[in-house]
Amino acid sequence: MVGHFVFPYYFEKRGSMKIVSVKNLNTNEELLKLEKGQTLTIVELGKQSIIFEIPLISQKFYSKILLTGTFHIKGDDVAFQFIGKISNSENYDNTTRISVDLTQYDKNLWVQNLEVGRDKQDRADRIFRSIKGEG
Amino acid sequence: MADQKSAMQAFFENQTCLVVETSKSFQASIHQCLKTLDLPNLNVILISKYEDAVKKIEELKPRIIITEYDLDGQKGLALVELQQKHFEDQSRISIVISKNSSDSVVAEAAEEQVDSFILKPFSPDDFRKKLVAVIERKVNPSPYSQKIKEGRQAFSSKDYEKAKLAFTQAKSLIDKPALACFYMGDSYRALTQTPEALAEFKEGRKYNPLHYKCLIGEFEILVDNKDYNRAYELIPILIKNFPLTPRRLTQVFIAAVFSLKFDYLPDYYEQLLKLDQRSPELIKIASVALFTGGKWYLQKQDLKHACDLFEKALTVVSRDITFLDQVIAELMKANAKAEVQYFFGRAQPADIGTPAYNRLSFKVDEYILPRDAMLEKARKFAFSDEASADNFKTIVRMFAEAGKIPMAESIITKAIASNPEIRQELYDILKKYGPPET
Repeated sequence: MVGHFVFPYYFEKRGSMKIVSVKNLNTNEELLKLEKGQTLTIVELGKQSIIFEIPLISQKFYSKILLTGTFHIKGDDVAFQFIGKISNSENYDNTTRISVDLTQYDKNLWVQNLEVGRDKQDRADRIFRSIKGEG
Repeated sequence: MADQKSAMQAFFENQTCLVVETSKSFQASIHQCLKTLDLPNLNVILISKYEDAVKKIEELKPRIIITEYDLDGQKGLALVELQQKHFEDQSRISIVISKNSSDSVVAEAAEEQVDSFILKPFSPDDFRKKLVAVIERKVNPSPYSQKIKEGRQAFSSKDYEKAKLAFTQAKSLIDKPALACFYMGDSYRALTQTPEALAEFKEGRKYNPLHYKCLIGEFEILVDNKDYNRAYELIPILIKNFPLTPRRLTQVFIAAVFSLKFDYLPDYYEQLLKLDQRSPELIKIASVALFTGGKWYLQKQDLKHACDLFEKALTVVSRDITFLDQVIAELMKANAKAEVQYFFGRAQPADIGTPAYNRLSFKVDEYILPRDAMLEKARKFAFSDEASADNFKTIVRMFAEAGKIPMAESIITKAIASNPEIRQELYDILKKYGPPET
């Protein structure tokens, strides 16, 4: 199965990825219809991988997919199209957890994306340490 | 390295790790990270619901808790507090994870006995590194941390003299022992020796002028001592350098009111708007503080600032009609006719037509409209079953003053059917404002 995912990305204080549509590129079929404002949860971001969940039980995916969307980086929405391979999909309750290995993608953009997350963690760590006042 | 690993394994030997996370996908990620630590005898329990987690904490007394900050509206931090009942800080681990990176949420977690705060989405590698760093701190504390640990253990057992001795020893171990000063101050505070406690917090701030715990310790003692002016002096330092948690912001509003320092209320209001979660207590205190500030400016005849604070207070309480009534009453006292009309127009659309709104509408009409125009409105309102006791008093007075005694008497009859307790008062009004008896 080949999927086409659209990811408008929000890096505000709740800055996780926002997916507005999930589409199979081969059939041009929407795999998942999201309501306006509904978001999918991004679980993990790796150096060349992403794990996210979709709110429905789906059959096992093992295929090449195209990810399309935007990142919100330094105040701008940046569009991207990445190709990846679904390495695993698991069903939990009413959700499916999908792991994707990115294969053809803008590495600089992906690094920037990871840096945004890391910057936020750094900021959180600084606040955390300053309040703990371990000295 | 091997020693460290065995120390880690000993720390986790036959212990329970509770992972509390509403998303099964995140549970799977965390579980996977824990597996990579190679702790074969660690019992990992995955829980989705807060209530189930509470039961498991009582039942299994988990040494390690990894919890989401927001568990379907319940706070994961409350689980950390429960865990504290069973373990002192150095022998347990608590990690909070959240998709919310707002400063106040991080600050709130840091104020509790949380060891690390991890933002979602995370990379497995970063998660593992953070977990290992926390474990290493627990397994191999520095001599200073070890003394602090001893002191805190004694403090938990209410052996304050022993705690003070440990903190004194800790103070000799590093150059800038601000944390030891804080805990020493806390011990004095527990012994109700507040001057000594204050001195310790101040000493801590000599080593680190922005030591949060010492600043808060000092602030709280000053608030407890009702020394609001000095407490208020610390607020700019806190606000400039640290995100405020809902609890701290509540204290800030209280200190502002009691020290009669209302100039910065708009800034605190901005801080309030930044918070993701506002406790009912914070909403109540903030609205009262802003309202009090508004009244204070009214007394100073500074209508502009008064109205600004009233507007903010109303926003805090979502333009609650009862609160709006109080604001309008204050503006009436200040004879601010245009402002009364403006604020009356700020009522929520959903309130329009409700008895509370109609009572307020009558009050405003009575205040704004000429008396002649009001009499017919007043009569209708009196018989509408919506008039309050105060409304009846006003209406009876209006008809008495207009010399319409039979109508005033029939309104009294109507009024005492629902408000018998004001019977005498209404007849007194009739007597006082009606035409003299012949």
